[in-house]
Amino acid sequence: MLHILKLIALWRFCMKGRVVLIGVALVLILSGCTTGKSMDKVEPAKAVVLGMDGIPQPDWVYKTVSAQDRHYESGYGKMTDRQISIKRATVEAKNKIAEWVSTQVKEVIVTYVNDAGSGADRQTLDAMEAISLQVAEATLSGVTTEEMWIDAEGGVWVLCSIPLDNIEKNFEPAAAAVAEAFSENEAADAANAKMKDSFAAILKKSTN
Amino acid sequence: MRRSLMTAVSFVMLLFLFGCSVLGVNVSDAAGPTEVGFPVLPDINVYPSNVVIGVSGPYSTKERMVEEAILGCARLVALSEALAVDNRVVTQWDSKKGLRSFATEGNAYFDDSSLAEIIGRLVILEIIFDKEAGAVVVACDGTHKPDDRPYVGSLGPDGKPQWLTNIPKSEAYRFGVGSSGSYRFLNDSLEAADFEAAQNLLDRHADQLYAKGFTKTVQNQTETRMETGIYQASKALLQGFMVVSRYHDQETNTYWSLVAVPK
Repeated sequence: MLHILKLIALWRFCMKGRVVLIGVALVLILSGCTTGKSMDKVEPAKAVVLGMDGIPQPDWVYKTVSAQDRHYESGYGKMTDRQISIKRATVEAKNKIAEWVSTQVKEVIVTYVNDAGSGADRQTLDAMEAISLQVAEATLSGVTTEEMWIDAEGGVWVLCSIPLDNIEKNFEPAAAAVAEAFSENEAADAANAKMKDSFAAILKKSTN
Repeated sequence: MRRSLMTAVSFVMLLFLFGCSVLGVNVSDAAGPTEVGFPVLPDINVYPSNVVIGVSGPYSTKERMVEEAILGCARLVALSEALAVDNRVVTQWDSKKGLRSFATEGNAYFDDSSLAEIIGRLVILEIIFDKEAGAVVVACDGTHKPDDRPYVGSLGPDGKPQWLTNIPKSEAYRFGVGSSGSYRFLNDSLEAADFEAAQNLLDRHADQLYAKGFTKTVQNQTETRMETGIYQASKALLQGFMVVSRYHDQETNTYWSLVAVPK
């Protein structure tokens, strides 16, 4: 009789232990404990901004787009109607392209003047300034609207681009004018070629 | 009966005078499939690319309406041969007051010296009469190949054409969208929307662009602000210009045009 009671007590103890084990396993599962993954690998969820008609915001609205053979700029406009908003956004993007070209040209001119060692020649510097202005205001060709996105409030974003080859072509007449201005300089031809090369290099560099 | 016979004879006389071909012309008071939002304007997409639709606007006689509509067709053919567009924009922005000015002016030019010759080679396919539109003439330019149209649109869930919000993309064509408020006559509203669409094509791709901007900081005892000004002039020569689709938004009474040029 005593043996039977002992057996029942042992069975009860085992049952209790099993319940505890099952409980521990459940707690581990519910708390999401994983043994094979490290937490730092989990990437945060990216918020998707939806525009008009539920179209998601493209990357180029907040990121600089770059390519080997084109330069890109974006513009934004929010006016009284869609048509004028598009125009305003396009004007802004095109202006950024023009400013970028102007900056590249000025950089080349400064480099060229320094390299040519003409810093002390006031007349030459004036000529350079006039030419650089002429180039910076030069007509750009082939500026194209690549993409457009309209945000939820009706603001319009456009992405415009220009082929780098076209900018180099625009630069050629001005480079020739610079060479003419420096005709008395013996190193003019070599410096002119160097200027063209450095312009091409700067354009390529700035797109990377 | 006698009166309508006289009118029909007058049409034939008029068309002969213009030199158009009139074989198999369907004259009616109602169109078949129409452009979205237009009760009378035929759907251009059911025709090949060498077909144009001219709208006259109301005139006192049917003869005059047909005459004007044929002229409208010839004008569209002339536009497709060469259309020069230019645009100038001046805008100024102030960091305190925001946008202070935004003015734009655009022009479009085409060669109208060959209109008589174009009219001579048009083949009239259909004439529709409508109280508001006047005469609507569907005509084919036999000297051009009847190719497929660059884009056949579909309607979005709101019942509006999808090209209103998503400009079509194509390897072969460049598209432009333009809109206009309502003018007194339908043909004027359509022409204004077409013009804006041509300007949009120019915005999207300029052969030449001149841009000049300035930014200056104004500082005095009471405030510091920044001013920005932009002047831009652009131009392009559009060849192969064609109206691809139209839409009339009845809620806002706005006319929309989708146009295209080959790349």
